[in-house]
Amino acid sequence: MNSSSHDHANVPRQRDALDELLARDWLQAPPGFTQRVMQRLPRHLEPAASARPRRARWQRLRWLLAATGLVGSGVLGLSQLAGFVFGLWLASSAI
Amino acid sequence: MSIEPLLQRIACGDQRAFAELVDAYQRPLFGFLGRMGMGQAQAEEVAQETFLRAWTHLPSFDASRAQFNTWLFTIARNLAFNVLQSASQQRELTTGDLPDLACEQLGPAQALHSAQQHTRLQWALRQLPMADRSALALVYVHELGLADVARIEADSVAAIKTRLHRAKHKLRELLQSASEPENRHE
Repeated sequence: MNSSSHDHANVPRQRDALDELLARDWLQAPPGFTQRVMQRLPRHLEPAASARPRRARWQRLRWLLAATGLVGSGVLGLSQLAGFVFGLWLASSAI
Repeated sequence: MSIEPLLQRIACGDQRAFAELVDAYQRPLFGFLGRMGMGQAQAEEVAQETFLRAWTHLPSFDASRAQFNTWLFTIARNLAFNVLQSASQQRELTTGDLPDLACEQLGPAQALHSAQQHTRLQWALRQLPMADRSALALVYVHELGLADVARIEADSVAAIKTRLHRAKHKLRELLQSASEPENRHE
């Protein structure tokens, strides 16, 4: 936080009563504010953290389904081809 | 204080570094929220939410595209807008909204005067249009330059200067009108 470089950049050098009023810290962080924020951190991150493995599981399932589909269609295609070749051989041997 | 080493430690999952960041930014953040016309309880809620969102979205923060100050105050400004827009604009101030610390440090007469000043300022700030109010609130954050304020407000520097001039003029009028009955009474 390079605060010093901006200290007088925005507010006129000749401050009037209103500037003084606005520059005052009317509200302040209560004691223990940082601890309160830190206590809320892990709970706040839980949904995001638990969503990641679920997404990874779903991704693995999609890969598995795609691989099964590819292998299945490959086997089916090969058996069709073998049937066609066998049919050709059967017809040629009958003649 | 340089923020980059802290951000690097946070990126490695160091929660203590984030606590240091909260320590460093809570003062300017509360100052900003106070100038937005918020009460103590409302400001605490928004400040907590700002830091929680910062923690959650820090992995997506790109230091080459924006400064951390600008990024954090953009979150705070957007949250403050949402809260203030949903809250009743005509809500009367209660003593619970006033800063406790001011009363502890000052004598009773001074504390009362300070509390009255704060109440008047809060009332006057709430009369300003939200966009002018946020520009005014941001410009008194020491960590932000005028260019940063323009970036947060998604406006040009010239337009921000105009908004500031207009907001301060209106605020002066409002504060004067609020103190007139009191002066007459005295």
